[in-house]
Amino acid sequence: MTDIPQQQLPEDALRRLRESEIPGGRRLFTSDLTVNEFLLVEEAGFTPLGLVMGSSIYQIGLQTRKWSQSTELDKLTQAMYTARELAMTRMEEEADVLGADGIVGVRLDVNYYEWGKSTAEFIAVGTAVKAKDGSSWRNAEGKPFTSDLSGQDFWTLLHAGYAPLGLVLGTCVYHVAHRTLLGTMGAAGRATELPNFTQALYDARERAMTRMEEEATRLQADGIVGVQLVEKSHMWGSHTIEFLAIGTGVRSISDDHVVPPPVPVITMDR
Amino acid sequence: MSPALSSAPGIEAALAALRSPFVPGDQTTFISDLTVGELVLLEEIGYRPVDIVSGAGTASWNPQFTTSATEGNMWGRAIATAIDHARSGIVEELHRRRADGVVAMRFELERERANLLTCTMLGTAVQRISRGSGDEHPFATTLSARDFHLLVRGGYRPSGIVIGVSVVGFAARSAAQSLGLARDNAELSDQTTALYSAREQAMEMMEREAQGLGADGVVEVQLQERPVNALLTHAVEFIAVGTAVHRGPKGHQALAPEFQLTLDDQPDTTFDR
Repeated sequence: MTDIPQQQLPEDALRRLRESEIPGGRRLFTSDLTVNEFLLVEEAGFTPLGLVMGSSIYQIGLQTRKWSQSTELDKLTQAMYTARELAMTRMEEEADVLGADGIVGVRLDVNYYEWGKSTAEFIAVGTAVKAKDGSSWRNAEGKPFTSDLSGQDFWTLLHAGYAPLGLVLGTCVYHVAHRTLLGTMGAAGRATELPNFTQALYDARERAMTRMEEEATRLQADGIVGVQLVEKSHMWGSHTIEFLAIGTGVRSISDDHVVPPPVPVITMDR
Repeated sequence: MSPALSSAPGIEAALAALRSPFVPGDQTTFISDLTVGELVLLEEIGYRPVDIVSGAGTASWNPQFTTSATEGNMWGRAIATAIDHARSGIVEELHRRRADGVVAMRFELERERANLLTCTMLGTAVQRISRGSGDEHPFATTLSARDFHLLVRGGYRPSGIVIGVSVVGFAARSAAQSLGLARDNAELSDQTTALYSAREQAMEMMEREAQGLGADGVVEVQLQERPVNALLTHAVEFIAVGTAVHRGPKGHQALAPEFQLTLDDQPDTTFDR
Protein backbone atom coordinates (compact mmCIF):
# COMPACT_ATOMS: atom_id res chain seq x y z
CA MET A 1 0.00 0.00 0.00
CA THR A 2 2.45 2.64 1.14
CA ASP A 3 6.18 2.64 0.85
CA ILE A 4 7.59 2.08 4.29
CA PRO A 5 10.64 4.27 4.76
CA GLN A 6 13.69 2.33 5.84
CA GLN A 7 13.83 2.96 9.56
CA GLN A 8 16.89 2.91 11.68
CA LEU A 9 16.45 0.76 14.75
CA PRO A 10 16.98 2.58 18.05
CA GLU A 11 20.53 2.37 19.46
CA ASP A 12 19.30 0.34 22.43
CA ALA A 13 17.92 -2.33 20.13
CA LEU A 14 21.13 -2.71 18.15
CA ARG A 15 23.19 -2.81 21.32
CA ARG A 16 21.02 -5.52 22.85
CA LEU A 17 21.12 -7.65 19.71
CA ARG A 18 24.87 -7.35 19.36
CA GLU A 19 25.63 -7.86 23.04
CA SER A 20 23.96 -11.24 23.26
CA GLU A 21 27.24 -12.93 22.37
CA ILE A 22 28.60 -15.07 25.16
CA PRO A 23 32.38 -15.34 25.43
CA GLY A 24 33.40 -18.40 23.45
CA GLY A 25 31.60 -17.55 20.23
CA ARG A 26 28.19 -18.82 21.30
CA ARG A 27 25.31 -16.48 21.79
CA LEU A 28 22.60 -16.22 24.36
CA PHE A 29 19.16 -16.82 22.95
CA THR A 30 15.94 -15.39 24.32
CA SER A 31 12.44 -16.43 23.49
CA ASP A 32 8.91 -15.96 24.70
CA LEU A 33 8.05 -19.47 23.55
CA THR A 34 6.75 -21.84 26.19
CA VAL A 35 8.87 -24.89 27.05
CA ASN A 36 6.61 -27.01 24.82
CA GLU A 37 7.01 -24.68 21.87
CA PHE A 38 10.73 -24.15 22.43
CA LEU A 39 11.44 -27.90 22.40
CA LEU A 40 9.23 -28.44 19.34
CA VAL A 41 10.99 -25.66 17.39
CA GLU A 42 14.29 -27.38 18.21
CA GLU A 43 12.72 -30.70 17.26
CA ALA A 44 11.75 -29.21 13.90
CA GLY A 45 15.42 -28.45 13.22
CA PHE A 46 15.59 -24.80 14.18
CA THR A 47 17.56 -22.97 16.87
CA PRO A 48 15.99 -19.95 18.53
CA LEU A 49 18.21 -16.87 18.23
CA GLY A 50 16.40 -14.21 20.17
CA LEU A 51 13.22 -12.36 20.96
CA VAL A 52 12.73 -9.71 18.31
CA MET A 53 10.27 -6.86 18.40
CA GLY A 54 9.20 -3.73 16.66
CA SER A 55 6.80 -1.00 17.61
CA SER A 56 5.28 2.19 16.34
CA ILE A 57 3.24 4.79 18.16
CA TYR A 58 0.92 6.13 15.54
CA GLN A 59 -1.44 9.03 15.50
CA ILE A 60 -4.52 8.00 13.61
CA GLY A 61 -5.91 10.93 11.70
CA LEU A 62 -9.46 12.17 11.46
CA GLN A 63 -11.81 11.39 8.67
CA THR A 64 -15.32 12.74 8.38
CA ARG A 65 -18.06 10.16 7.95
CA LYS A 66 -21.48 10.70 6.48
CA TRP A 67 -24.19 9.61 8.90
CA SER A 68 -26.20 7.69 6.35
CA GLN A 69 -23.54 6.41 3.99
CA SER A 70 -21.66 3.12 4.24
CA THR A 71 -18.13 3.52 3.03
CA GLU A 72 -14.56 2.52 3.61
CA LEU A 73 -12.52 5.11 5.51
CA ASP A 74 -9.32 5.05 3.46
CA LYS A 75 -7.36 7.26 5.76
CA LEU A 76 -8.01 5.02 8.76
CA THR A 77 -7.36 1.87 6.77
CA GLN A 78 -4.11 3.40 5.66
CA ALA A 79 -3.15 4.24 9.25
CA MET A 80 -3.88 0.74 10.57
CA TYR A 81 -1.94 -0.77 7.68
CA THR A 82 1.08 1.51 7.86
CA ALA A 83 1.48 1.34 11.64
CA ARG A 84 1.42 -2.47 11.61
CA GLU A 85 3.85 -2.58 8.70
CA LEU A 86 6.22 -0.23 10.56
CA ALA A 87 6.18 -2.48 13.62
CA MET A 88 6.64 -5.64 11.54
CA THR A 89 9.41 -4.16 9.41
CA ARG A 90 11.36 -3.18 12.52
CA MET A 91 10.88 -6.65 13.96
CA GLU A 92 12.18 -8.13 10.69
CA GLU A 93 15.16 -5.77 10.80
CA GLU A 94 15.99 -6.99 14.30
CA ALA A 95 15.82 -10.55 12.99
CA ASP A 96 18.15 -9.54 10.16
CA VAL A 97 20.71 -8.25 12.67
CA LEU A 98 20.66 -11.71 14.28
CA GLY A 99 21.05 -13.41 10.88
CA ALA A 100 17.75 -15.25 11.26
CA ASP A 101 15.97 -17.44 8.71
CA GLY A 102 12.58 -16.70 10.12
CA ILE A 103 10.39 -15.51 12.99
CA VAL A 104 7.89 -17.82 14.67
CA GLY A 105 5.11 -17.14 17.15
CA VAL A 106 4.60 -13.56 15.95
CA ARG A 107 2.08 -11.57 17.97
CA LEU A 108 0.61 -8.28 16.82
CA ASP A 109 -0.78 -6.13 19.61
CA VAL A 110 -2.38 -2.70 19.71
CA ASN A 111 -2.06 -0.73 22.96
CA TYR A 112 -3.86 2.43 23.89
CA TYR A 113 -2.43 4.77 26.47
CA GLU A 114 -4.37 7.22 28.51
CA TRP A 115 -2.23 10.11 27.38
CA GLY A 116 -3.16 9.86 23.77
CA LYS A 117 -6.59 9.96 22.23
CA SER A 118 -6.57 8.60 18.67
CA THR A 119 -3.03 7.43 19.31
CA ALA A 120 -2.12 3.78 19.53
CA GLU A 121 1.03 1.76 19.89
CA PHE A 122 1.35 -1.12 17.45
CA ILE A 123 3.71 -3.87 18.56
CA ALA A 124 5.06 -6.94 16.80
CA VAL A 125 6.92 -9.54 18.88
CA GLY A 126 8.27 -12.94 17.86
CA THR A 127 11.14 -15.38 18.19
CA ALA A 128 13.84 -15.28 15.51
CA VAL A 129 15.03 -18.76 14.49
CA LYS A 130 17.77 -20.23 12.32
CA ALA A 131 17.84 -23.61 10.56
CA LYS A 132 20.35 -25.99 12.16
CA ASP A 133 21.42 -27.47 8.81
CA GLY A 134 22.29 -24.07 7.34
CA SER A 135 19.65 -24.19 4.62
CA SER A 136 18.01 -20.92 3.62
CA TRP A 137 14.37 -20.35 4.49
CA ARG A 138 14.03 -16.81 3.22
CA ASN A 139 10.89 -16.01 1.25
CA ALA A 140 10.31 -14.65 -2.24
CA GLU A 141 10.98 -11.11 -1.01
CA GLY A 142 14.36 -12.18 0.38
CA LYS A 143 13.19 -11.58 3.93
CA PRO A 144 13.11 -13.98 6.89
CA PHE A 145 9.82 -15.87 6.95
CA THR A 146 7.30 -14.76 9.55
CA SER A 147 4.47 -16.71 11.06
CA ASP A 148 1.96 -16.30 13.85
CA LEU A 149 1.71 -20.06 14.23
CA SER A 150 2.54 -21.55 17.62
CA GLY A 151 5.57 -23.83 18.07
CA GLN A 152 3.22 -26.82 17.93
CA ASP A 153 1.65 -25.73 14.64
CA PHE A 154 5.07 -24.88 13.21
CA TRP A 155 6.35 -28.40 13.93
CA THR A 156 3.22 -29.98 12.49
CA LEU A 157 3.32 -27.79 9.38
CA LEU A 158 6.93 -28.76 8.60
CA HIS A 159 6.18 -32.43 9.28
CA ALA A 160 3.32 -32.31 6.83
CA GLY A 161 5.60 -30.91 4.12
CA TYR A 162 4.79 -27.21 4.14
CA ALA A 163 7.02 -24.22 4.82
CA PRO A 164 5.76 -20.92 6.21
CA LEU A 165 6.51 -17.89 4.00
CA GLY A 166 5.14 -14.89 5.76
CA LEU A 167 2.48 -13.36 7.91
CA VAL A 168 -0.09 -11.93 5.52
CA LEU A 169 -2.74 -9.46 6.52
CA GLY A 170 -5.44 -7.32 5.05
CA THR A 171 -7.38 -4.63 6.77
CA CYS A 172 -10.35 -2.43 6.05
CA VAL A 173 -11.83 0.27 8.27
CA TYR A 174 -15.44 0.70 7.35
CA HIS A 175 -18.17 3.08 8.35
CA VAL A 176 -21.54 1.38 8.50
CA ALA A 177 -24.36 3.81 7.76
CA HIS A 178 -26.89 4.57 10.45
CA ARG A 179 -30.48 3.77 9.53
CA THR A 180 -32.84 6.53 8.61
CA LEU A 181 -35.57 7.41 11.04
CA LEU A 182 -38.22 6.40 8.54
CA GLY A 183 -36.54 3.08 7.85
CA THR A 184 -36.23 2.33 11.56
CA MET A 185 -39.87 3.01 12.11
CA GLY A 186 -40.92 1.01 9.08
CA ALA A 187 -39.02 -2.03 10.30
CA ALA A 188 -40.06 -1.70 13.94
CA GLY A 189 -41.53 -4.86 15.36
CA ARG A 190 -40.92 -6.88 12.22
CA ALA A 191 -38.38 -9.61 11.70
CA THR A 192 -36.55 -8.48 8.62
CA GLU A 193 -33.11 -8.39 7.16
CA LEU A 194 -31.40 -5.02 7.22
CA PRO A 195 -29.83 -5.07 3.78
CA ASN A 196 -27.58 -2.04 4.19
CA PHE A 197 -26.00 -3.48 7.36
CA THR A 198 -25.56 -6.89 5.78
CA GLN A 199 -24.11 -5.39 2.64
CA ALA A 200 -21.70 -3.12 4.51
CA LEU A 201 -20.26 -5.82 6.73
CA TYR A 202 -20.05 -8.23 3.81
CA ASP A 203 -18.24 -5.70 1.68
CA ALA A 204 -15.76 -4.75 4.41
CA ARG A 205 -14.91 -8.37 5.21
CA GLU A 206 -14.38 -9.17 1.53
CA ARG A 207 -12.04 -6.21 1.10
CA ALA A 208 -9.92 -7.28 4.07
CA MET A 209 -9.74 -10.88 2.81
CA THR A 210 -8.89 -9.81 -0.74
CA ARG A 211 -6.03 -7.64 0.50
CA MET A 212 -4.70 -10.52 2.56
CA GLU A 213 -4.84 -12.78 -0.50
CA GLU A 214 -2.96 -10.19 -2.54
CA GLU A 215 -0.15 -10.23 0.01
CA ALA A 216 -0.02 -14.03 -0.19
CA THR A 217 0.16 -13.92 -3.99
CA ARG A 218 3.09 -11.53 -3.76
CA LEU A 219 4.90 -14.09 -1.59
CA GLN A 220 4.06 -16.83 -4.13
CA ALA A 221 2.25 -18.79 -1.47
CA ASP A 222 0.26 -21.93 -2.23
CA GLY A 223 -2.23 -21.06 0.45
CA ILE A 224 -2.93 -19.35 3.76
CA VAL A 225 -3.41 -21.25 7.01
CA GLY A 226 -4.67 -20.19 10.41
CA VAL A 227 -6.65 -17.25 9.09
CA GLN A 228 -8.28 -15.15 11.77
CA LEU A 229 -10.85 -12.52 11.05
CA VAL A 230 -10.94 -9.91 13.78
CA GLU A 231 -13.52 -7.14 14.00
CA LYS A 232 -12.80 -4.24 16.31
CA SER A 233 -14.11 -0.74 16.76
CA HIS A 234 -10.99 0.51 18.58
CA MET A 235 -11.68 4.12 19.59
CA TRP A 236 -14.14 5.02 16.84
CA GLY A 237 -17.54 4.15 18.27
CA SER A 238 -19.94 1.42 17.23
CA HIS A 239 -20.48 2.28 13.57
CA THR A 240 -16.86 2.33 12.50
CA ILE A 241 -15.25 -1.07 12.47
CA GLU A 242 -11.86 -2.41 11.49
CA PHE A 243 -11.92 -5.78 9.77
CA LEU A 244 -8.54 -7.44 10.03
CA ALA A 245 -7.76 -10.68 8.23
CA ILE A 246 -4.50 -12.29 9.24
CA GLY A 247 -2.89 -15.65 8.48
CA THR A 248 0.32 -17.41 7.48
CA GLY A 249 1.13 -17.89 3.81
CA VAL A 250 2.57 -21.36 3.18
CA ARG A 251 4.27 -23.17 0.33
CA SER A 252 4.46 -26.89 -0.32
CA ILE A 253 7.97 -28.36 0.07
CA SER A 254 7.28 -32.03 -0.50
CA ASP A 255 5.34 -34.13 -2.96
CA ASP A 256 2.99 -35.70 -0.50
CA HIS A 257 1.58 -34.30 2.69
CA VAL A 258 0.99 -37.57 4.49
CA VAL A 259 1.77 -37.84 8.17
CA PRO A 260 1.68 -41.04 10.24
CA PRO A 261 -1.99 -41.67 11.04
CA PRO A 262 -2.77 -39.93 14.33
CA VAL A 263 -3.52 -42.17 17.30
CA PRO A 264 -7.17 -41.71 18.27
CA VAL A 265 -7.49 -40.91 21.97
CA ILE A 266 -10.27 -40.17 24.38
CA THR A 267 -9.26 -38.22 27.47
CA MET A 268 -10.69 -39.53 30.69
CA ASP A 269 -10.19 -36.50 32.90
CA ARG A 270 -12.51 -34.10 31.21
CA MET B 1 -10.72 -32.22 75.45
CA SER B 2 -12.71 -35.43 75.81
CA PRO B 3 -10.79 -38.39 77.23
CA ALA B 4 -11.59 -40.57 74.18
CA LEU B 5 -9.89 -38.11 71.81
CA SER B 6 -6.73 -37.59 73.85
CA SER B 7 -6.15 -41.33 74.07
CA ALA B 8 -6.19 -41.81 70.30
CA PRO B 9 -2.73 -43.13 69.26
CA GLY B 10 -2.32 -40.72 66.33
CA ILE B 11 -2.63 -37.68 68.54
CA GLU B 12 -0.01 -38.90 71.00
CA ALA B 13 2.43 -39.35 68.12
CA ALA B 14 1.62 -35.96 66.64
CA LEU B 15 2.08 -34.22 70.00
CA ALA B 16 5.37 -36.01 70.53
CA ALA B 17 6.54 -34.92 67.08
CA LEU B 18 5.62 -31.32 67.81
CA ARG B 19 7.51 -31.41 71.11
CA SER B 20 10.74 -32.64 69.52
CA PRO B 21 13.05 -29.87 68.27
CA PHE B 22 12.98 -28.91 64.58
CA VAL B 23 16.21 -29.64 62.73
CA PRO B 24 16.37 -27.97 59.32
CA GLY B 25 17.51 -30.20 56.51
CA ASP B 26 16.91 -33.30 58.60
CA GLN B 27 13.32 -34.01 57.68
CA THR B 28 12.10 -37.25 56.27
CA THR B 29 8.68 -35.97 55.27
CA PHE B 30 8.25 -33.53 52.44
CA ILE B 31 5.69 -30.82 51.87
CA SER B 32 4.73 -29.74 48.38
CA ASP B 33 1.85 -28.23 46.49
CA LEU B 34 2.45 -30.55 43.54
CA THR B 35 -0.22 -32.85 42.18
CA VAL B 36 0.36 -36.61 42.18
CA GLY B 37 1.07 -36.51 38.45
CA GLU B 38 3.66 -33.78 38.89
CA LEU B 39 5.30 -35.71 41.72
CA VAL B 40 5.69 -38.75 39.48
CA LEU B 41 7.04 -36.61 36.61
CA LEU B 42 9.67 -35.16 38.97
CA GLU B 43 10.76 -38.56 40.23
CA GLU B 44 10.94 -39.82 36.66
CA ILE B 45 13.78 -37.39 35.97
CA GLY B 46 15.43 -38.03 39.34
CA TYR B 47 14.14 -35.24 41.57
CA ARG B 48 12.07 -35.28 44.76
CA PRO B 49 10.30 -32.44 46.55
CA VAL B 50 11.73 -31.15 49.83
CA ASP B 51 9.54 -28.39 51.16
CA ILE B 52 7.67 -25.26 50.25
CA VAL B 53 10.11 -22.35 50.39
CA SER B 54 9.69 -18.63 49.96
CA GLY B 55 11.51 -15.35 49.76
CA ALA B 56 10.32 -11.76 50.07
CA GLY B 57 11.71 -8.33 49.40
CA THR B 58 10.42 -4.79 49.79
CA ALA B 59 11.39 -1.38 48.54
CA SER B 60 9.80 2.04 48.66
CA TRP B 61 10.10 5.23 46.72
CA ASN B 62 8.74 8.76 46.95
CA PRO B 63 7.71 10.10 43.57
CA GLN B 64 8.14 13.81 42.83
CA PHE B 65 5.90 13.57 39.73
CA THR B 66 8.49 15.15 37.48
CA THR B 67 9.16 12.02 35.41
CA SER B 68 12.69 13.10 34.79
CA ALA B 69 15.13 10.44 33.68
CA THR B 70 16.70 10.17 37.13
CA GLU B 71 13.34 9.68 38.76
CA GLY B 72 12.56 6.86 36.35
CA ASN B 73 15.87 5.27 37.20
CA MET B 74 15.16 5.53 40.94
CA TRP B 75 11.84 3.75 40.55
CA GLY B 76 13.39 1.12 38.29
CA ARG B 77 16.09 0.52 40.86
CA ALA B 78 13.51 0.20 43.65
CA ILE B 79 11.68 -2.52 41.69
CA ALA B 80 14.92 -4.32 40.93
CA THR B 81 15.96 -4.17 44.60
CA ALA B 82 12.71 -5.71 45.85
CA ILE B 83 12.98 -8.52 43.30
CA ASP B 84 16.62 -9.10 44.12
CA HIS B 85 15.97 -9.43 47.85
CA ALA B 86 13.16 -11.91 47.28
CA ARG B 87 15.31 -13.96 44.96
CA SER B 88 18.38 -14.06 47.15
CA GLY B 89 16.10 -14.92 50.09
CA ILE B 90 14.68 -17.96 48.36
CA VAL B 91 18.09 -19.10 47.08
CA GLU B 92 19.50 -18.82 50.61
CA GLU B 93 16.64 -20.96 51.85
CA LEU B 94 17.48 -23.53 49.17
CA HIS B 95 21.09 -23.64 50.34
CA ARG B 96 19.91 -24.20 53.91
CA ARG B 97 17.65 -27.06 52.89
CA ARG B 98 20.37 -28.51 50.67
CA ALA B 99 17.89 -28.35 47.81
CA ASP B 100 18.90 -28.09 44.15
CA GLY B 101 16.18 -25.76 43.05
CA VAL B 102 12.61 -24.58 43.27
CA VAL B 103 9.97 -25.29 40.63
CA ALA B 104 6.49 -23.90 39.94
CA MET B 105 7.53 -20.76 41.76
CA ARG B 106 4.95 -18.03 42.11
CA PHE B 107 6.43 -14.62 41.43
CA GLU B 108 4.34 -11.69 42.59
CA LEU B 109 5.03 -8.01 42.58
CA GLU B 110 2.54 -5.99 44.58
CA ARG B 111 2.25 -2.32 45.17
CA GLU B 112 0.87 -1.34 48.55
CA ARG B 113 -0.20 2.08 49.60
CA ALA B 114 2.47 4.75 50.24
CA ASN B 115 4.58 3.42 47.35
CA LEU B 116 5.67 0.34 49.20
CA LEU B 117 6.59 -2.41 46.81
CA THR B 118 6.67 -6.03 47.90
CA CYS B 119 7.95 -8.96 45.92
CA THR B 120 7.17 -12.52 46.94
CA MET B 121 8.48 -15.78 45.56
CA LEU B 122 7.05 -19.08 46.72
CA GLY B 123 7.41 -22.59 45.37
CA THR B 124 8.32 -26.21 45.94
CA ALA B 125 12.00 -26.91 46.58
CA VAL B 126 13.34 -30.01 44.86
CA GLN B 127 16.42 -32.13 45.40
CA ARG B 128 18.24 -34.57 43.16
CA ILE B 129 17.67 -38.14 44.36
CA SER B 130 21.16 -39.33 43.52
CA ARG B 131 23.51 -36.87 45.18
CA GLY B 132 26.96 -36.15 43.86
CA SER B 133 28.00 -34.67 40.52
CA GLY B 134 29.02 -31.14 41.40
CA ASP B 135 27.42 -28.50 43.55
CA GLU B 136 25.63 -26.34 41.04
CA HIS B 137 24.09 -23.08 42.06
CA PRO B 138 20.48 -23.78 43.07
CA PHE B 139 17.94 -22.59 40.52
CA ALA B 140 14.60 -20.85 40.99
CA THR B 141 12.10 -21.14 38.17
CA THR B 142 8.49 -20.28 37.53
CA LEU B 143 8.26 -23.28 35.19
CA SER B 144 5.75 -25.89 36.27
CA ALA B 145 6.85 -29.40 37.23
CA ARG B 146 5.74 -30.73 33.83
CA ASP B 147 7.71 -28.05 31.98
CA PHE B 148 10.74 -28.80 34.15
CA HIS B 149 10.36 -32.50 33.31
CA LEU B 150 10.12 -31.80 29.57
CA LEU B 151 13.04 -29.37 29.62
CA VAL B 152 15.30 -31.92 31.33
CA ARG B 153 14.23 -34.66 28.91
CA GLY B 154 14.88 -32.29 26.02
CA GLY B 155 18.50 -31.94 27.16
CA TYR B 156 18.34 -28.66 29.10
CA ARG B 157 18.16 -27.62 32.71
CA PRO B 158 16.92 -24.35 34.21
CA SER B 159 19.54 -22.07 35.75
CA GLY B 160 17.27 -19.51 37.34
CA ILE B 161 14.69 -16.78 36.96
CA VAL B 162 16.11 -13.70 35.24
CA ILE B 163 14.55 -10.26 35.36
CA GLY B 164 15.08 -6.89 33.73
CA VAL B 165 13.40 -3.61 34.69
CA SER B 166 13.21 -0.23 33.02
CA VAL B 167 11.09 2.86 33.50
CA VAL B 168 10.50 5.58 30.93
CA GLY B 169 8.93 9.02 31.20
CA PHE B 170 7.47 11.03 28.31
CA ALA B 171 7.45 14.54 27.10
CA ALA B 172 4.00 16.10 27.13
CA ARG B 173 2.45 16.42 23.71
CA SER B 174 1.01 19.34 21.85
CA ALA B 175 -2.53 20.42 22.72
CA ALA B 176 -3.92 19.33 19.36
CA GLN B 177 -2.40 15.90 19.76
CA SER B 178 -3.65 15.32 23.26
CA LEU B 179 -7.15 16.41 22.37
CA GLY B 180 -7.16 14.03 19.46
CA LEU B 181 -7.68 16.85 16.99
CA ALA B 182 -4.72 16.20 14.78
CA ARG B 183 -6.12 15.45 11.35
CA ASP B 184 -3.30 13.57 9.72
CA ASN B 185 -1.88 10.10 10.02
CA ALA B 186 1.59 10.27 11.45
CA GLU B 187 4.00 8.26 13.47
CA LEU B 188 5.00 9.91 16.74
CA SER B 189 8.67 9.14 16.50
CA ASP B 190 9.80 10.52 19.87
CA GLN B 191 7.29 8.46 21.82
CA THR B 192 7.93 5.42 19.64
CA THR B 193 11.66 5.58 20.31
CA ALA B 194 11.15 6.18 24.04
CA LEU B 195 8.97 3.11 24.55
CA TYR B 196 10.95 1.01 22.08
CA SER B 197 14.22 1.79 23.86
CA ALA B 198 12.74 1.14 27.30
CA ARG B 199 11.54 -2.28 26.20
CA GLU B 200 14.95 -3.11 24.77
CA GLN B 201 16.65 -1.93 27.98
CA ALA B 202 14.51 -4.25 30.11
CA MET B 203 15.36 -7.12 27.76
CA GLU B 204 19.04 -6.23 27.82
CA MET B 205 19.17 -6.17 31.61
CA MET B 206 17.47 -9.57 31.71
CA GLU B 207 19.92 -10.94 29.15
CA ARG B 208 22.86 -9.64 31.17
CA GLU B 209 21.58 -11.51 34.19
CA ALA B 210 21.36 -14.67 32.11
CA GLN B 211 24.89 -14.17 30.85
CA GLY B 212 25.99 -13.72 34.47
CA LEU B 213 24.57 -17.17 35.20
CA GLY B 214 26.51 -18.58 32.25
CA ALA B 215 23.23 -19.63 30.64
CA ASP B 216 22.76 -20.61 26.99
CA GLY B 217 19.39 -18.97 26.62
CA VAL B 218 16.19 -17.69 28.16
CA VAL B 219 12.78 -19.25 27.56
CA GLU B 220 9.23 -18.14 28.40
CA VAL B 221 10.17 -14.46 28.39
CA GLN B 222 7.29 -12.24 29.39
CA LEU B 223 7.40 -8.53 28.80
CA GLN B 224 4.98 -6.77 31.09
CA GLU B 225 4.24 -3.10 30.98
CA ARG B 226 2.03 -0.76 32.96
CA PRO B 227 1.85 2.92 33.86
CA VAL B 228 3.93 3.75 36.94
CA ASN B 229 0.74 4.83 38.68
CA ALA B 230 -2.63 6.38 37.96
CA LEU B 231 -1.24 9.92 38.16
CA LEU B 232 1.81 9.19 36.09
CA THR B 233 0.26 7.68 32.97
CA HIS B 234 3.00 9.12 30.81
CA ALA B 235 5.59 7.13 32.73
CA VAL B 236 5.62 3.44 31.93
CA GLU B 237 7.47 0.60 33.61
CA PHE B 238 8.62 -2.51 31.77
CA ILE B 239 9.52 -5.79 33.41
CA ALA B 240 11.03 -8.66 31.43
CA VAL B 241 10.94 -12.03 33.20
CA GLY B 242 12.15 -15.36 31.89
CA THR B 243 13.81 -18.64 32.83
CA ALA B 244 17.49 -18.95 31.94
CA VAL B 245 18.45 -22.41 30.70
CA HIS B 246 21.66 -24.40 30.29
CA ARG B 247 22.14 -26.77 27.39
CA GLY B 248 23.40 -30.15 28.61
CA PRO B 249 26.60 -31.72 27.23
CA LYS B 250 24.66 -33.80 24.70
CA GLY B 251 22.67 -30.86 23.34
CA HIS B 252 19.03 -31.10 22.35
CA GLN B 253 17.51 -34.54 22.86
CA ALA B 254 14.79 -35.60 20.43
CA LEU B 255 11.40 -36.06 22.05
CA ALA B 256 9.83 -37.59 18.91
CA PRO B 257 6.22 -36.76 19.72
CA GLU B 258 3.49 -38.68 17.94
CA PHE B 259 0.31 -37.31 16.45
CA GLN B 260 -2.83 -37.75 18.47
CA LEU B 261 -6.37 -37.15 17.45
CA THR B 262 -8.71 -36.58 20.28
CA LEU B 263 -12.14 -38.07 19.83
CA ASP B 264 -13.60 -35.66 22.37
CA ASP B 265 -16.12 -33.24 20.94
CA GLN B 266 -15.66 -29.56 21.52
CA PRO B 267 -18.55 -27.89 23.28
CA ASP B 268 -21.07 -26.41 20.88
CA THR B 269 -20.22 -22.80 20.18
CA THR B 270 -22.50 -21.95 17.29
CA PHE B 271 -24.71 -19.53 19.16
CA ASP B 272 -22.66 -18.88 22.25
CA ARG B 273 -19.78 -16.52 21.65
